[in-house]
Formats: sequence, C-alpha cells, structure tokens
Amino acid sequence: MKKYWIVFKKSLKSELIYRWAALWRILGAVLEFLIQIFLWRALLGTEAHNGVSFSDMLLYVLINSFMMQLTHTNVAGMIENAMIDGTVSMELLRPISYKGYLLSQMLGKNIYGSLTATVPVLLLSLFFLSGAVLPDFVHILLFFLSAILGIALLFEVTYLFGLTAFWLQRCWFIRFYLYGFQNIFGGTLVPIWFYPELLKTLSYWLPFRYMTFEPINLFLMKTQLEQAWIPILAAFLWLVGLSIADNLIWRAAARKLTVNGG
Amino acid sequence: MKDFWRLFTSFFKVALRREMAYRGTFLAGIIGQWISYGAAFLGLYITVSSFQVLGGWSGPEVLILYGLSLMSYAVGASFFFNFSNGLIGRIRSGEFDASLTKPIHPFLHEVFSAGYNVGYISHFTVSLAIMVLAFASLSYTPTVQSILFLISALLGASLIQAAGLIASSTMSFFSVGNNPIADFLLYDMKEFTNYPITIFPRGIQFVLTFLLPFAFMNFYPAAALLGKPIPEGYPAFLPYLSPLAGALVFTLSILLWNWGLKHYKSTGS
Repeated sequence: MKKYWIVFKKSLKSELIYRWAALWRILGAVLEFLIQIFLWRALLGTEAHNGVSFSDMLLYVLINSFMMQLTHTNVAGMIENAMIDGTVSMELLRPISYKGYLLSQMLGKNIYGSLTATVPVLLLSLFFLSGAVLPDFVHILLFFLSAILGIALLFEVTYLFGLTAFWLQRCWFIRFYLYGFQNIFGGTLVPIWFYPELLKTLSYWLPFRYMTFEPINLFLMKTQLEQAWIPILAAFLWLVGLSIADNLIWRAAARKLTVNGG
Repeated sequence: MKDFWRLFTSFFKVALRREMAYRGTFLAGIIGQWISYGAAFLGLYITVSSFQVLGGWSGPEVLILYGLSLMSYAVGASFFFNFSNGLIGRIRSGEFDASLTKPIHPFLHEVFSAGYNVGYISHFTVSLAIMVLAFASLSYTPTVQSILFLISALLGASLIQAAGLIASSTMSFFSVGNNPIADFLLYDMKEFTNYPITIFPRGIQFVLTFLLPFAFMNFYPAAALLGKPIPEGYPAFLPYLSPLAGALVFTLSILLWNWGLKHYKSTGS
C-alpha cells in the first residue's frame, strides 16, 4: 500500500508546479458553472420539471464535474506513449501492479486540479443554493459508498478501454468512444431524469449510469432508502465482473507485448 | 498566386498520404468522433426538447446552432489545427528555426508543412447530417438566397475559428509552457455559443458580439435564417456581418502572429 502512496504523492507534487495554470483553470471552471446556471435558469425558471428543481441541477453539475475531473485520465494514451518509447518494459518490471500504479498516478494527478476547480465553484453556488435540502446522515453515507464505487468503476472502464492499446498501434481515438458512451448512457452530459424511455431502459443494463448518476441520485435523496441497495449492488457487480475481465485481458496483453527497442 | 496553389497542392498530397498510412486507425477515429459528437448533439436535443424551448429556440433549432459551430470548426481546424497545435513543439525542438530560412513567409511555410488535417471530415459529416435532419424536421424550405447566405456565413465562421487557432499559437513565441490563457479565451468562452446567447446577461452578449465575436460563428447566422430575435437594441443588419467579422478577425490574428514572431528568440537547440 505504501508503494502506491508514494506514486500518488509524486504525481500530486508534479502537478503542484503549475500554479499559474491552476488560476486559469479555476476561471474556466467558474465560467463553465455560470453557463450551466444561466442555462438551467432559462430552462427551469423557478419551477420544478419532472420533479427536478434548479438547486438539484446545480448539485448535479457540481458532483458530476468533480467526479469526472477526479477520474480524468487517458490510459490508452499513456500505454501508447510507453510502448512507443519503450518505457513499458520498465513499467512491467516494477514491483507494483500496473493497474494500481495507474490508479494512484491518476488520483495524484487529478486531486489537486479537481479540488482547486471545485472549491471556488462550490462557494459561488452557495449564493444559488438557498432552497436546497441537504441529505440526511444515512443518505450521505450511502452517497459516499456509491461515489467510491462509481469512481472505481469509472477508472475500471477507462483502464479496460485503455488496455486495447496493446493490440492497436495507434489509439488516440479510444477516448472518443469512451466519452461518447459515458455521455449517452451515463448521464454525464444531461441527467438521465430527462431521457426518453428507451435510452433510460438501456442505461440500466450498462455500467455507465452507476458511475456518477446514481451517487447523485442518492445525494439528492431521489433514491429511497429501501431501493438504495439496487444501484450499489449493481455497481459492485459491474466492478467485480470488469476486474475479472481486465485481469484476463492484461495477461493476454503481457504475452502479446512486443517492445520496439527501448 | 500560381506558386501559392502549386505549393498548397503538393503539401496537401503529402498530408493526405501521411494520414492514409494508417487506414484502420483513421476509420476507427472517424467512427469514434461520430459517436462522441453524436452524443453531444443528442444531449443537447434531449435537454431542449424535454422543456420544448430554450429561450425561444426549439430542439432542432438549437441543433442547427451547434451544427454551425461544429461545421465551421471542422473547416477552420482542418487547415489550422496541426499548425496551431504543433507550433509549440516545433519551437521547443528547434525545428521552427528552419521555417525562418525558407524562401516563403514563415507563417505560410508553417501552415503548409503542418499539413491539412483530414480527420476533421468526421466533424464535418456529423454536423452536416444533423443540420440536414434538423432543417427537415422544421420543414424548412431552402431558397437560393438562404443557401448562399448559409455558405457565406459558414466561410466567415470558419475564418473566426481559424483566427482563434492562429491567435492561440502566438503564445508559443513567448513561452513554451502550457497555454492556459488561450485555452480560457478560446475553449471556455466558446462554450457559451452552444446555446442562444439571448439567455445570457447583456454583458456576455456584448463580449461575444464585439470583443470575442464568437456569436457571428453560429448565433447570428442561425438567428437570421430561423427568424429569431437578436439581443435588444442591436442593429438589425448584425446577423449579415459574419463574413466581414470573419475576415476582420482572421487578418487581426495574422497580424498578431507576426507581431509575436518579431519577439521570438530561438530556444537554441
């Protein structure tokens, strides 16, 4: 565990250098949030639509963007680069699992950026959240459980998509598929509350909605306590199933790997 | 001028061959971008149609708005993305210095040798398909005038997109680090234009019209075509000025680039 903590800290430290970039990222995040505020003001006004209120939407945008930023990573690109310059053979020799290494690196790299981008937006949103109801204690606990599962699931799917880099020589396009599926089936762009029936039904059968959408539903208490076990169990089962799958794919990849020089 | 075309076509052929070397990747990339941009269109459509209207614009009308923006980006970026994105690397590695010794202007040499980016065919086709569908669902009857207007507006919009790419690359002459200011001005500010600008406060409408004229890319042309109101108090001929706005900011961006070039000091590698 200590090894992964070291990777996490190193990766975080290398991000802390870019102070100046952080300032502009904060401005960008604030601007993006303002756009969402104006958009949902124009759409919702002061009324609720399908049981969704303005403050629900703001909390949705906040939680969703924090979770997406925390897991923002291009595993396929990292593997591609490591294969081109040959460092992948070094990475395979490390006394640490490659998946765990990527996970700690991703969290270290993203935690600073997602916190600096979220905190100012959170402060700004306090002005608009006057009518919001905070969840009760049990819902908060369930939210954290489901959010941790969601983050793990997000990473798992990113990693699984990224592993295909071992078979494709160039793979800059993989992230487009990933983003597309996340946006269509995961409600990361538009909450699934507004989806037409067909898409809504489809989304239940894929892992994407359990990443950010179901945790948000728990935070907003839109999921009743009696039903809370369903999305949590589904996320857990997806996580187990995909871990088994990536393990098999990883073994095949390590066997297939040919390194160019290096 | 004849030399210009000869140079352009020979550089173009090289770029095309370079892309086509990885045919499978190229195809997989195009399909991936269809899915990813298709999702963006779908999301926008679901949002707006779930509420019927957004600031007086219906679902298909907002799709046209986003379609114009994406299509003009496809045209502008196919000529200027490689150039804009690659400049910083070429300066860092010292390759850029070779451009200074060529018998054509460094700007032209950079643009030509960076090459045409064929990949934007995916953005172009997806936005074209969505816009055709959207116009059809509005049962819009095109006239010769409206088609000519649309084409001229698209040209102006593509020049605005190109100007953004050129201006952002200018920063590389001053710093070879990340470029967060340009990202903020070009990408974050452009997000406003995914929606009708009339839903935003007047200050933002002013900035998007007169300071960073992104609204000429899609909002004003679409408003003219679909008969939508423009911000109150703005002159009624504004929606027809896209080509002019495009030519203006394109020229300004090249002047800015040349000004940056004057301050360029080689990294010496």
